[in-house]
Amino acid sequence: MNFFQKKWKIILVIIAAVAMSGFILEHFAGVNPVKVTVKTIVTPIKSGFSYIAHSLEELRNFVWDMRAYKEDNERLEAENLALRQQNRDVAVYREENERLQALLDLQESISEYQTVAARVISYSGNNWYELIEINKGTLNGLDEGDAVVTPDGLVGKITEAGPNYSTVTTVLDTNAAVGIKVSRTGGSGFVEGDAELAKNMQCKLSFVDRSTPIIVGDVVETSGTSGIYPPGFPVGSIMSVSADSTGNLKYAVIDPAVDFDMLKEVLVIKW
Amino acid sequence: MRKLKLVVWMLLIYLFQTVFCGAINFNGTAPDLLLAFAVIFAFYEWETNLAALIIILCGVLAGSEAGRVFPAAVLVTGVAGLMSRALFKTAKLVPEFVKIISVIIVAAFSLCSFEYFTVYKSISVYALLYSILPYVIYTTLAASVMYPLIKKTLFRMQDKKQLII
Repeated sequence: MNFFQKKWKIILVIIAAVAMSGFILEHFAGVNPVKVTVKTIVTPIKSGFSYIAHSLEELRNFVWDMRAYKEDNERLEAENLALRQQNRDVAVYREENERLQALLDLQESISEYQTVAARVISYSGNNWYELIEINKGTLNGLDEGDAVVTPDGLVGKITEAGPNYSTVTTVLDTNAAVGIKVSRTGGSGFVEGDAELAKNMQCKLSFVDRSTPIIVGDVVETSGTSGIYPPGFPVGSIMSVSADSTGNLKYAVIDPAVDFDMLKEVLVIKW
Repeated sequence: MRKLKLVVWMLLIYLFQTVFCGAINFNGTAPDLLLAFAVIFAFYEWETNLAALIIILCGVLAGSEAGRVFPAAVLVTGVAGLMSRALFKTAKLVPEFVKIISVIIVAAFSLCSFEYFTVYKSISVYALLYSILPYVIYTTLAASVMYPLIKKTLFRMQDKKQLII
């Protein structure tokens, strides 16, 4: 092919003419009719495909954003988990603080007694908390027979004292017997553990004289007459009242003042 | 069939150049696919009229794009097409690909420089490094990708001669 063939000269002239006409028209008339015509023709096509392009772009952005959202979500989930853990810790600390504050208040309120604060380290094998172990023993000055209380009321007494631990027999134990008086009337009796009631974390008030008026809701507290427990500590409240077979004595079911489920710290009274 | 392929090629290139520009845009620079197509097509096309039509059409389409200088686009694309065609049977020792790429580099450089000058009224080293060269390199790369595809889909080579499919 000869580049300088007549045909190619014509083509070159056409190209130059198109370009020049475009230039002249744009320069003088401000509008290029070729450009306008081309744009008018291709605009509907471009519009249709631009819709597809935008849809594809949105899809790509969506996928792209999803990746970012996933990363954000994972980060926020981890953050949420950490905050929840932190929140739980704060709740535990606040609860512990409240318990210790109450224990301290109790210690101050019974300053006439020598007291030692201890932490509950284990419970008895069964589910009704007849025995518990605390982390203080003879090295801390504790001994068998010492009374164990909480700000809520009486827990029991130490029945075994090791060097750095003590076993506490609670009022739920069948061998426990606490001399009490009814706060409202001053009537006396004994609170004892009962195997059946202990399953429901309850104990029994017995040897109450028939003439002593007791009603459901009455609070019973240690009388101090037995010499085992100091007087004035709440033991529990009356849940139900019954008479024995002879009809001379009443007995009642006691709901202990202490929540043995929540027992964490106790105060031992060297009695 | 070949005409249909040609129309599809033109449509695809034009759409990529305009509508799907975001897909081929790299760091603010889009390659001139129409220029590359015109040069590659004109190089191999046996029918002179068709080659002339395509290079003029590519020039007009390129010039009609928003922000392009119409006369420059038509002139440079047209002349580049003609130069490409002129090189087909000359300098036979030089590989075809090298001939095509050389035309594209010169044309892209000329076109971009002219358009830059039209807008900013001057050309600096900064313009050369950050506007013109990226455009030339990117257009050359795009042409390198398009070259085998166009050659394979629109032309069949036999004994160093073009056969129209």
